[in-house]
Amino acid sequence: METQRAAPGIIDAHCHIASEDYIPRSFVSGAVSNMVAALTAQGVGVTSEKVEGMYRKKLGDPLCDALVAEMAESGVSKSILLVPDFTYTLKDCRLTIEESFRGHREVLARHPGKFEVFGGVDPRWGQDGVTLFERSLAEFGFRGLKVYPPCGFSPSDPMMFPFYELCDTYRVPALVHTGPTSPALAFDTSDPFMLDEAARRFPRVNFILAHGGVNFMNESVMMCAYRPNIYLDTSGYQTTLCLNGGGALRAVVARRVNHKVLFGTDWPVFRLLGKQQSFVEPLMAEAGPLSETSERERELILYKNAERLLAEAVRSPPATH
Amino acid sequence: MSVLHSAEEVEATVIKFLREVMPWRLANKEISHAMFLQKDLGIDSMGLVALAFRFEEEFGVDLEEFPVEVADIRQVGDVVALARNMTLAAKKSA
Repeated sequence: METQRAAPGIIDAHCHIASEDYIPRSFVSGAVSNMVAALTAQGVGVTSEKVEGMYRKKLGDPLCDALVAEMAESGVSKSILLVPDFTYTLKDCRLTIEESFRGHREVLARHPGKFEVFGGVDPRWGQDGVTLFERSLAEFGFRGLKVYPPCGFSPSDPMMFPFYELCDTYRVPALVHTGPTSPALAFDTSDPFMLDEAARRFPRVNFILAHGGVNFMNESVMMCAYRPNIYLDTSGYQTTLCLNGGGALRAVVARRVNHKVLFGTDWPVFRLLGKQQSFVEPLMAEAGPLSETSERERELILYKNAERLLAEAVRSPPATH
Repeated sequence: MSVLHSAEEVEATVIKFLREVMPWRLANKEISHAMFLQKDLGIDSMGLVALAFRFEEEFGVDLEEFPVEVADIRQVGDVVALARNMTLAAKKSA
């Protein structure tokens, strides 16, 4: 079997803890329904229960032990764990968002140096949510904000501004979901251009368009090219790995905004389809999607862009805050 | 569900199922055990899942009972090995 080694020191900028504590069943059921529709249309006899059962078996890694093992196999030295706040919109969440933050803090302690965490709070929780987010930066060691507009708000809604102000103060990035997601949620607030007002108002905050390498790719690349503080991640590229060797990713790197592209896998979303090594290896192949980039550009995509964004964070903001 | 008796029949069934999910332009491509499903045969992620469920249907076994998971299947040889294990399991339970 092919054993081409991945480059060392890769940072996976888009991961989640594989646990139903953080990914509610309604979210999974919605995503599974799309898979079942596709399989049924092809004449494959499957049931939602069957596919959902297989998928939920992959959500048994609450302390990220399996993820750490797969990181080691694939040359990923650090992963960014994202905590979207579904608790305001989806009513079957097991934990409150504060409990979720504490769970992620536990993972940080269990695996020193392996993870960073970006915490998200639905802005409709009001000042309590803002306070929790600041605590996550000042006390829990989190290093960024996760924004999930499909829960029902625009990323440029003024309710988000207190969060972006904190990102500015603590010099941490904000990673914003773009494009579709589980059909349990809305898609009409996830166009990348909806972030434009926030990016203009908060020029010192770096915003990362999650899945921008796959969803609304042209718009995301435009934002990266013309807004100094906008980046994109590649998560979701796995669905485009085929004979042509990663068509979507190949198209993104050809647009020459590679100083704004962050590698990401969205683990564990594609866990049913392969291990991290199977997603990283194609990138390193001689004719793979990164083969037309320079060595320097490849380093930017695989870890240096993420390193740069994370390096700015301050634990204790200046006294004027 | 069919009853398969020989290794050749199992392999022929595997090849048939692979061709069902491969890109049409590769219809005449010779398939060998060493080939990678994604890289060489253009089988995408949904194709892999469809393949797994087709095996389940064909051999009348539960995929969840097999230690080799869909995520571990990389080459044609892996698929043939899984199909052979499934056939043996189906025979035992018959």
